[in-house]
Amino acid sequence: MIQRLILLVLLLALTACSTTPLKPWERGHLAERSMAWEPDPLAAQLDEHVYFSKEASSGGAGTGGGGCGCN
Amino acid sequence: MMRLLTLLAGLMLAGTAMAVDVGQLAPKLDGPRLMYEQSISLDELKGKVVLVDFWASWCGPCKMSLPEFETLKQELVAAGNPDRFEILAVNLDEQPEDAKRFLRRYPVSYPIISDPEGRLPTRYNVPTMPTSFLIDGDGVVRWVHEGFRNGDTELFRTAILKLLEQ
Amino acid sequence: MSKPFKPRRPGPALTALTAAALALPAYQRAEAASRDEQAGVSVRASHYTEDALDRSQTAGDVTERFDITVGQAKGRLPVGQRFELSLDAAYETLSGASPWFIEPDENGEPVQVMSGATIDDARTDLLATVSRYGDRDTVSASVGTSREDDYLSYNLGLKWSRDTASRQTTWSLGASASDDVITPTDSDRFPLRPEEESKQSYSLVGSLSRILGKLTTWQTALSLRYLTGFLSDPYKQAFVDGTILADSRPDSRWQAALSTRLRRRVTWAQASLHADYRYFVDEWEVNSHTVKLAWHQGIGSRWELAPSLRYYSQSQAFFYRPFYLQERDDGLYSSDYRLSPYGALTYALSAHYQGEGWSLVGAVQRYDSEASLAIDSVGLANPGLVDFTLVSFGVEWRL
Repeated sequence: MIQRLILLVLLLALTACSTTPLKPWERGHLAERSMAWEPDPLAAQLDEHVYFSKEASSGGAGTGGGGCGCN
Repeated sequence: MMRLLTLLAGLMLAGTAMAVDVGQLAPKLDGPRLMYEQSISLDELKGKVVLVDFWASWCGPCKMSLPEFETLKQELVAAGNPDRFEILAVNLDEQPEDAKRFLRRYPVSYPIISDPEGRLPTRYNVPTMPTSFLIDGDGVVRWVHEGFRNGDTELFRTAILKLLEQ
Repeated sequence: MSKPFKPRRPGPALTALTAAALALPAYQRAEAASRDEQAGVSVRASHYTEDALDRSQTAGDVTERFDITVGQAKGRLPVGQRFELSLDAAYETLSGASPWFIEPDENGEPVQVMSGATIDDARTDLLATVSRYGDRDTVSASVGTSREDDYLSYNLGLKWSRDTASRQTTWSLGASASDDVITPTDSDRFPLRPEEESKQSYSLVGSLSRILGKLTTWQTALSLRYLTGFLSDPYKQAFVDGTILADSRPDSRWQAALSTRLRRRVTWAQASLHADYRYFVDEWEVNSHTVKLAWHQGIGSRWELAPSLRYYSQSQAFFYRPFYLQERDDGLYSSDYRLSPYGALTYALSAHYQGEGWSLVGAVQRYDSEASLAIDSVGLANPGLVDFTLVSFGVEWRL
């Protein structure tokens, strides 16, 4: 399962390498607020903190430092 | 002939991130105006110092630069250069309506070409948004500026005044 | 060709309009200056209440759990042409009872025992970050602290990201470390509680973000974390063959998370689709899958409604049991629901309004966890699994 997933991610990375570069003036759609990784950073920070304090998992793309006594 | 050479050079450079460089002849610029039912071309402005500015309404620094450019133009016109300086902007919004909405709120008095297909920035190999080209009365590119940060207006004023004094 | 015209300076309204584009990573925006050129402040207030436990699965009268209020503030100030300072602050108050240990009833079914007295605590977080924006590189350094009545943490972080020449790809590398001291309250009254303990954590995160076309971006990240020291919960206990022992976990924990995120603009619908996935695995044999889907629907040019759905499933830590019928050779015990096998669903809806120079956001979310939602089947469900409803409201100003 994990091996397959890693393979999939690597495949995606390879396909990504072959895309033709987007011109600077072609990025209007990507500049939409809703296309950001986290359009609402405060909400993302809170979610991360709440899930971190209630689930065994942590880490990922947008994670920073910090901690809490909640384990 | 020079135009053709420039064009060929431009074609050869296409695909690299190099913008049209200082000392080169400015590639042809023409197209329909964004806010008026007219067309305009860079050739019509021959003899004037022209600031060509590529922008889009979705680009943050571009939106910051437009009101600054307008102030600069008013200032230069008031200083006695009405026939010697002009700004020619190229808007690259895919939906021209987005640009019009922005301009209704922050109007500018200089002409803007609407180029939703991105025909013109390809000719100039625009490396980033915004990019501005300062062109002298003979149609030669004399200064290129990439991006727009707080305080950059001063750089534009200095470059334009220097060219106007020559 | 020019008309009589009064020039306007960029005011707050203009800066509000630029906000949208500036929230994005540099490479996505295609601009030379990647820093947000305006100062900004955002504040947010959130409140959530954990559902009371099922009385039939609880020993004693206390079934109410925590009631939590969080205030957050974020300020950002550009300095010169290249630098930015930002400050994040959070203040959280919590009040209520929490699961203490689990005992078997006469039928061998797990029953939750809650901490008797109401616990009141407050947490204050501060984080200061300085960033330098180069033409292609962004480097930032941060220092932070988090403190509660019984807890003090300091952390440090460094991050470096670099765009490729075509601004099609961004690589980033981050490292952080934290040093925490725990001084459990009432350790004189509860002999199983330690007086003072400490733990350290070290993290490394590498990520790769790419533009896959005019409408699509994709990111993948690998994060590694090592925790060492006192990793148990000083307020939790375990039922072991008729006696109550302190929660006791290994003193080291490696964790790894592989995550991937996709953003796709759906032009005909004036919407954006977000799809996130994370696989997590750790040294305690916990592994988890997290999938989140969100649909950001634009309505006119000012409103946005975003429903989202998150699914989470984790397996248990190797030493976890709801209760222990006999002692373990390794002396490790935890009945904490957070280390139990379960699955959870989050349903959320948020609304965003863009004004001139400010924006408003409101959100609600519902979190339901159940052993039966786990991917693998679970023998004995932990009776302390948490459910909650969260509401929050925020304002952002561009200065």
